[in-house]
Amino acid sequence: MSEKEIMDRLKSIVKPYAQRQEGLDNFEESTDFINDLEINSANLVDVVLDVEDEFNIEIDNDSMEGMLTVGDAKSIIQNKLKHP
Amino acid sequence: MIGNDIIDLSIARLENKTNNPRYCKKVFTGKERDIIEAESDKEKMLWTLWAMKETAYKAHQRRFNLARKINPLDYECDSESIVNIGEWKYKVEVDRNEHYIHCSTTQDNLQSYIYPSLEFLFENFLTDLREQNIFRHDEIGVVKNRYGIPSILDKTNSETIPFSLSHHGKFTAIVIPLINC
Repeated sequence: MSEKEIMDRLKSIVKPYAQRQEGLDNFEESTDFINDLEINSANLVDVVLDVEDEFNIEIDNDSMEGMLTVGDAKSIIQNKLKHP
Repeated sequence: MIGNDIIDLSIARLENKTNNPRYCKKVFTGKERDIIEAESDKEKMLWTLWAMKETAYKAHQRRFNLARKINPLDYECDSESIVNIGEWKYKVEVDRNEHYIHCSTTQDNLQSYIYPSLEFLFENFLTDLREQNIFRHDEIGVVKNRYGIPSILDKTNSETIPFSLSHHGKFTAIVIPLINC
């Protein structure tokens, strides 16, 4: 799966939880889920579950711990797709 | 060290998390899931435990200057007032009604403020602090450090007192320690 496709799918996943349009408009690897997109911390776990469903992967607690930015999520997805 | 969290129940209840076992397993330990299951209002208990964990997380992270992490399972509520993280214990005070759940740590003598909207938030907060003479001086303002942690700055003696802010739905809660004032 191309990087662009992962990023596009991630963007549609976070959209319903993001409370800051500016963060969505400048959606890039450094985008921080809490600071830039203002996703509620309780909803971060929903993002993790939606990523699991969308990419058909399992995100363990150790990986979830470090999923603070879009780039973090992208790397986790790429790793899990490579080594399921 | 301070931490606090507020939950707007009119929003949280819509999420119906008690019917989402995958979510519960990522966020709550077996013991916590048992506490939730034993309640008649399961959704309210679920959000109470979430707010307690989040409160302890904020206090612990500040206390040790830790990097941010999404590790809700590391924080375990062992009753309706204690959260354990590793060898550390945080005593949490829970204030609940039909509209919101507000949790704050109680190590320090804390003063809580709850505002029903974001409009003029800091202006209203500063006015309340001045009216209640929380600080010795009236020349106070809000500043943030490079980690984004907000403080009250006493402009007369340049003292800063950090406070903890939590926002959910229409509610914003602020807690500030009364020590050093």
